Amino acid sequence: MSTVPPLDASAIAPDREHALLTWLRSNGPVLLGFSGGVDSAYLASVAVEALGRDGVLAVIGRSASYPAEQWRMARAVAQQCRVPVLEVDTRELDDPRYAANPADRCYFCKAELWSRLAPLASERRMLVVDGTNADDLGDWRPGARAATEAGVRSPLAELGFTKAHVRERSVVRGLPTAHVPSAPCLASRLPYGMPVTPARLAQVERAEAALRARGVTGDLRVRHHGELARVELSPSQIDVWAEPARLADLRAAVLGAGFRRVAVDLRGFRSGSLNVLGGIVAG
Amino acid sequence: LPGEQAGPPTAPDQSRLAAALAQLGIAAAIETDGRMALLNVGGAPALPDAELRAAILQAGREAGYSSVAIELPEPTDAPR
Repeated sequence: MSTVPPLDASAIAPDREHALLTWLRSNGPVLLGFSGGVDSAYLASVAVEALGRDGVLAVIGRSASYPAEQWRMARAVAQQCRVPVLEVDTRELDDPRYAANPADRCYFCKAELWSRLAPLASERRMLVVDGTNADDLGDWRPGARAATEAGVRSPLAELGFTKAHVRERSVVRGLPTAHVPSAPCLASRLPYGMPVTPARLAQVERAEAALRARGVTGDLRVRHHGELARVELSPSQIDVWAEPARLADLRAAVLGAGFRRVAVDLRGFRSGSLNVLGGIVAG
Repeated sequence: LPGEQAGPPTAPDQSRLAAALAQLGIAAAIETDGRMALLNVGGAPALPDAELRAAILQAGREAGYSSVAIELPEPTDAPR
């Protein structure tokens, strides 16, 4: 178990990284749930430094819930971090409790993921860890319960790393993920209660890929409201895409993914906006 | 977190939003989807500048909406 004392809330990122190295050396070797995003890439990088390549295994869970582009990026990031990778298929879409898309959908997805990773970790006598950070603890994250039940540890959150801390240290480490936007699963674009199907996930994936191909940068979500797609851009991108001609291009891109109507959210990107619009959390 | 759970949200009031938008000089058909207001201003809409966006969103909040979106209709010069 960890012997790292808790850090004061004002501790700066370098001190936290020192504590993280100590934590990993005390608790490793580790099997890391790896998405190739900002948090898990940073954790992988530090873990390799603390434990060496033999002390870390990054596992990518693959399903229709994640865009194929993200797997490609995850592999590339793992290569740059010099962390060994294993890819496993997860089958959360086969679970009717997940597919029904209740408000605690993430619980069933993560329970499936950790159930696949636990035996792999056990065979290798590794501790399962994930990249949850301290900011994540303040959002509606039923998936965290599945992690707790499976005995998964979250060293970044335990040591008080915020997303800003992770990005700051990622810059210092030269990680390609330092400034990439967060990329939660595609099912997060569907309002609770709308069944999660491969077709709907693919529709969202195509729409977002088409918008990226047309030059949309920064945070981007295409929220699925049935025949309507609601596009959330970062505030600076709203200004870039404000002109009628550009909006027509944006509309065409989204219609090409199979939606019949397109709208742009004036508030712009918000993490978990469907939680707010659905009344799960206050907006 | 318990403090962030929504209480019963104020029910969105479409008429109130329409009146507030009219005061801003915006004529729009409004649809309500949960706590989102969907505006259709017709024609080939441009997105409002940051100041007007803030005013629209504020009007939406005061009418019980969490967000406001503008629908992009088929461009009027598009081939039929």
